Amino acid sequence: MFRQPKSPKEEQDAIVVENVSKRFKIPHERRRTVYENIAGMLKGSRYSYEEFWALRNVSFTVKRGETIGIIGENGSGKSTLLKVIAGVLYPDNGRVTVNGRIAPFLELGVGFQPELTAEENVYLYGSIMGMDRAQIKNKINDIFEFAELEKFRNAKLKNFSSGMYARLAFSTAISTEPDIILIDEALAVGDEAFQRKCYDTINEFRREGKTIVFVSHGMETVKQLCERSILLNQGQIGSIGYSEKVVSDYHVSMHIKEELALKKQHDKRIEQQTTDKIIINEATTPEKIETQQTSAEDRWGSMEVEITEVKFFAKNGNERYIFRTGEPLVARIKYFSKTKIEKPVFGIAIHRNDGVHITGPNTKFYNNVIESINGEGAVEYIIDSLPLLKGTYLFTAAVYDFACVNPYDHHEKRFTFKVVDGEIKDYGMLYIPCRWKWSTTSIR
Amino acid sequence: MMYIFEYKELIKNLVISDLKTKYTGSMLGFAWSMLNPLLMMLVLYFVFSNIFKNQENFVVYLLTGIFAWRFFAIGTTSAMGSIVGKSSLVTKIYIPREILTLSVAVSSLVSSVLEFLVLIPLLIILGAGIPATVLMFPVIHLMYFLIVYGICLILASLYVYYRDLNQIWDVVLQVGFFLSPIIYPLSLVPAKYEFYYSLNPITRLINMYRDILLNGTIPAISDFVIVLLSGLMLFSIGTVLFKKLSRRFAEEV
Repeated sequence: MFRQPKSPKEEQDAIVVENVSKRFKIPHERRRTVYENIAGMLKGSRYSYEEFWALRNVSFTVKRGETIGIIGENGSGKSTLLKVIAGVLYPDNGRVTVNGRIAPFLELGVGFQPELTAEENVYLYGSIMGMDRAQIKNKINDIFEFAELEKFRNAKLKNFSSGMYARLAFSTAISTEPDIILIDEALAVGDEAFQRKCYDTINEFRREGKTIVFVSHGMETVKQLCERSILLNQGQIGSIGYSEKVVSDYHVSMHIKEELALKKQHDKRIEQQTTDKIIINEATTPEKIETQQTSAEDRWGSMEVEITEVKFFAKNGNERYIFRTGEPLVARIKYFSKTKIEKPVFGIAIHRNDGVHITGPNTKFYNNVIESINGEGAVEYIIDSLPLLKGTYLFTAAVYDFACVNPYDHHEKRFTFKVVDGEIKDYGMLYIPCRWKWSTTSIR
Repeated sequence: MMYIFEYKELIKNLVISDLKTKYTGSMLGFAWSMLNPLLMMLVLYFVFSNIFKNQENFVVYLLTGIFAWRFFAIGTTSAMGSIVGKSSLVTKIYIPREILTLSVAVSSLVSSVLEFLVLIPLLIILGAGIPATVLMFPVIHLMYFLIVYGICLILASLYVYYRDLNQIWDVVLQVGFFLSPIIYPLSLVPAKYEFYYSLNPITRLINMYRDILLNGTIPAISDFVIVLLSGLMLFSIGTVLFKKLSRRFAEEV
């Protein structure tokens, strides 16, 4: 019956998001008209759709005066969350409470009409933000000054360049004196000087104690601007807390994901190999197999010995595709030979993904003479301390006859591994162990 | 309903910009827009003036019906696209979405009042004089607005989901035109259908306009009650339906 007086705690909260879920329905066959609906019903086909939960049970609180960042990869629900807070989308479950006037910068220049002059558009935009004419009139000089467009007040908007348009939109939007500001990377407007001005404005908002929700892909910006951040992962909160920690959680999750993608790519390569083999077997008579030359673009050889698997491992024996500079790397090459082969030579090559050939050793160079092979086996290429710096590298594995002229099986750049920054963060391609000395007098 | 006050500036801007596009920014544009109803009146006049000989001031009689009908027909048709046509104001920013429909309905209200104003010099020229009952016009017109706005809310929100609603509504309007006593007097309707006929609030409204503008009589109290009740009912249904359907506007628009 009585309206409950707000407790001091509630007063402090600018945005309260409680158990918010948002589901999108993606219909298999879109029915947008009465006709389609009736036709569909007569045909007896059921209205079927895919469900996609853009947000699942998201809960958090933003305190008044706080700047909070929202990060996550594409499609993790960042924009959906911002739209739900802005009131554009309605959550299927849960509740969003917002205390104060919101200025959503989901897109700049919403409602701008090209046929109107710049000044008329400012009035129009102000009214969309719920301001009245007198309020806007007080601000209009500041708006044009900030946008550096004083000269173009009475020009029609359709004659504006995209940069001018964005500047006017941003200036108008910030002049509406919002309590809560939602920003969706719309900041990348104008030249560098104007961008800096935008960031200055955001910092000013922070000093004035306004609440800011900031969605971004720029991790450095998030760390600089936001005390706290939220990491969204497939519509759920993956991590929430101090930005430093959340950003590092994000990197870890990206890392795991990338590793999985590389492994998948690898497995696919191996699968492809086996299918290659099947095709060869079907296409030729058994007698001819021995001498059959395959000539896939990145694989060739007589196939007397076949490389059946190439995998990378870390020190502890776990399969890995992302390494840090200085770590050990083991490449294990599994083979199968149908007959006894005398003195085969196994070799590898590492190229950077732009084509630079970094190394190309083989067992013969290292006096590792393999007398003969028959059946299954494996060769390991071991690097005790990986000297490669951050980058993507392509791995070649091959087995040749002792003269290194006739290939049994050659896999050209078919395998990929990555190196990321670890303890060592040198610039360039190779880590060359070194020391530094410093002295005020000449050293030698 | 508080949004009307909070966003009065926006409503004003949207109404003005709607009127501007409708009349291409000039009073001459309004004059052009009168061409259609006047020509229609002339055609109807020549066709039917012989049949309905005993109807006094048949010109004004026809025009009252046509103008009243136009408010309904044009108001609902143009408001139907009010959400779909302003998609960026739905998907990129939050404003109470009713505002978009309201402003189109208000713009039709303004047009309609202007049209009815044309009747005043016409009544003087034709020597019919202006009865004092004209003063009731604002009350009746506002009740009518409630009906029109209620239907606008229903149509605008349904149109987001059913994009062929405009074609269906065109047919409904055509049927409605002939089911309302615009061309012919109510007395022509057979007595056994009269009950069903009088269920149509627009029939009552047209009669009310004719009462106050032509006959100089005060409409029956039952007319007021029924029109007001249907207005309140349609407005409530429209508001509730709109609220419910507006939740997914941003996804469907």
